[in-house]
Amino acid sequence: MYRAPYTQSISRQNKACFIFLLDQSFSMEEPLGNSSNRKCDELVAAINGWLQNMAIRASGDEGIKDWMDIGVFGYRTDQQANPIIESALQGPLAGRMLVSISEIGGAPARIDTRMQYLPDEETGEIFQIPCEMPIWVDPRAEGGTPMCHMLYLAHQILAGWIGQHPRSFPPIVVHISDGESQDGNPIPYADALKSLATEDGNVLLFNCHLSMTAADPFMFPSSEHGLPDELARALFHMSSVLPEPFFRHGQSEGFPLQPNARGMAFNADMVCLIQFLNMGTQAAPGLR
Amino acid sequence: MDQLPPTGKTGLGSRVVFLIDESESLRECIAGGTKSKAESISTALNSLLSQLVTVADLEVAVAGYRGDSNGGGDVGCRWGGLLAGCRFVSTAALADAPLLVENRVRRQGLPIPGAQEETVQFPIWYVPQLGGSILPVLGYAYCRHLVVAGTTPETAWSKPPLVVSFVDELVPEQVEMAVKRVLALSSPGGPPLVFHVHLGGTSAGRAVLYPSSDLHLPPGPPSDLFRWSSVLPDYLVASLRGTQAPVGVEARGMIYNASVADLIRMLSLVKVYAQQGILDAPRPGGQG
Repeated sequence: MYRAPYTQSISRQNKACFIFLLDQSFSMEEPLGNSSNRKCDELVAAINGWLQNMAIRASGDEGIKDWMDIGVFGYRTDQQANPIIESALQGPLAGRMLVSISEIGGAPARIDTRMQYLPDEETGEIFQIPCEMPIWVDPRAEGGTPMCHMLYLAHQILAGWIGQHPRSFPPIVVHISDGESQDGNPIPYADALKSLATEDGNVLLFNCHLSMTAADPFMFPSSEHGLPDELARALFHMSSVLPEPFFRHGQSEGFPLQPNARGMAFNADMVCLIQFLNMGTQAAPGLR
Repeated sequence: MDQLPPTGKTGLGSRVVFLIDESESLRECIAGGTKSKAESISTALNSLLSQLVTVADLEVAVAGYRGDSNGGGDVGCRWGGLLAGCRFVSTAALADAPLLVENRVRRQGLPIPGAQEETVQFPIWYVPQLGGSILPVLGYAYCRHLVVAGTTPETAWSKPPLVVSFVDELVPEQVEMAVKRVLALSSPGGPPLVFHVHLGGTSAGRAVLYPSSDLHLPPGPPSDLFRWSSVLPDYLVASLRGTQAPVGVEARGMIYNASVADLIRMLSLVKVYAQQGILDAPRPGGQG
């Protein structure tokens, strides 16, 4: 019986897979647009927040449901310009390529305390409370941007995962970077990654470009027209067209999406980054 | 009566108009909160007024517009008690004339057993009374009248008047011209600043806060609101960034689909505006 692509429900039997590819090059030291914090700090804050939300969402009476595998990778170069591509997870999960959400939930590297600002509806004031923030990933910013090596490793990892989960919702790769590839043209590597497929559809590759300028962001463009430069156009070609469930989810969230909108953000600030992460990962069946 | 008798304070010539859509639709629960939009506006506004009493000397008008039972419109200032009939009221005069003072519980932590609470006195000047929908054009026309009446020769060194407009039902008809007539007013401090507050409800989509473009706003009335909202002055941008809010270049004084926390933060800008007036005031002897 025919079933539309990207509709496989996520369950213990048909797990999901999310992979985050994080640019850890030196330029991630720069401040993120519209923020006084470094790009690398804002990036790991968003990723740690996402991991925490997913662990909470997967938790139930029987503990954390084992319904997704997650990989968080960083890429940079050493002083001799050799690529360093490795898991960015810290603590007990350090060095692990793919980790189940139950392992994520149970093994943060540490717990930090952050101040949270909440509204008091009785007095119209904002008050602060300390809250515990589990940390799995720490910021890093050194060396260059070996993007092709990163995409190649992602291909290898996902080819193996798909072999074990042929009926699952296809893996979603979220790539977050602030600059151009320094080890070649990444488009063929991105195409190879996107050509991988489960029975439910091709691997989805979403790209988010972080900017230190406070320029207007481009989110989910549907054509190259209007994109500001060659880097933006390269990311556009690397990015998957949003499948129907993602498109509908984006519209319901108020994004003015055009047909053939791609999973791409350019000149993103912190707000865009979080919106992008949510948009790119919450439309899969069973995750909303 | 336009103004209570002078209080002996210096008077900065800065004037703020709060213009409130009081249509029935404000009975909906606010995004991120448990109370109605009308209650949330009332609490946030009364909280702000009580803070302004202690930190600034400026003149405030609270105006509303709603449909009445005869099918007409009820547009005017909403002061009651000792202030009934006033249009602009100095913050000094406000201190002595709240409509009532309630005891409210200030939260100092999450609403869990054992969390610290404190009962505080909460003065109330504005109590929302909701009615039918009428065209916002009537509200803006009245607002223009207020701003014109509030511009006097002795405000020669003051800042531009500030209008904070709470809109709920986005009815574009005839509004553009009315808003533009407010924006086109001149005062010794410059044309008025017009900010817009649109609150999200239970089914609200994504919030858009202080946008620099209408790129991420739905077309139609939300984008219209963007065009009708003033660019935030640098000192308000700096204030927002100080609270970690990502604010871009040429960000507008506008929040759309906002939560109760966003509402409180937005109104805190009025306090910053008021305090900036104190900093900008000429020193005795005409220097500065």
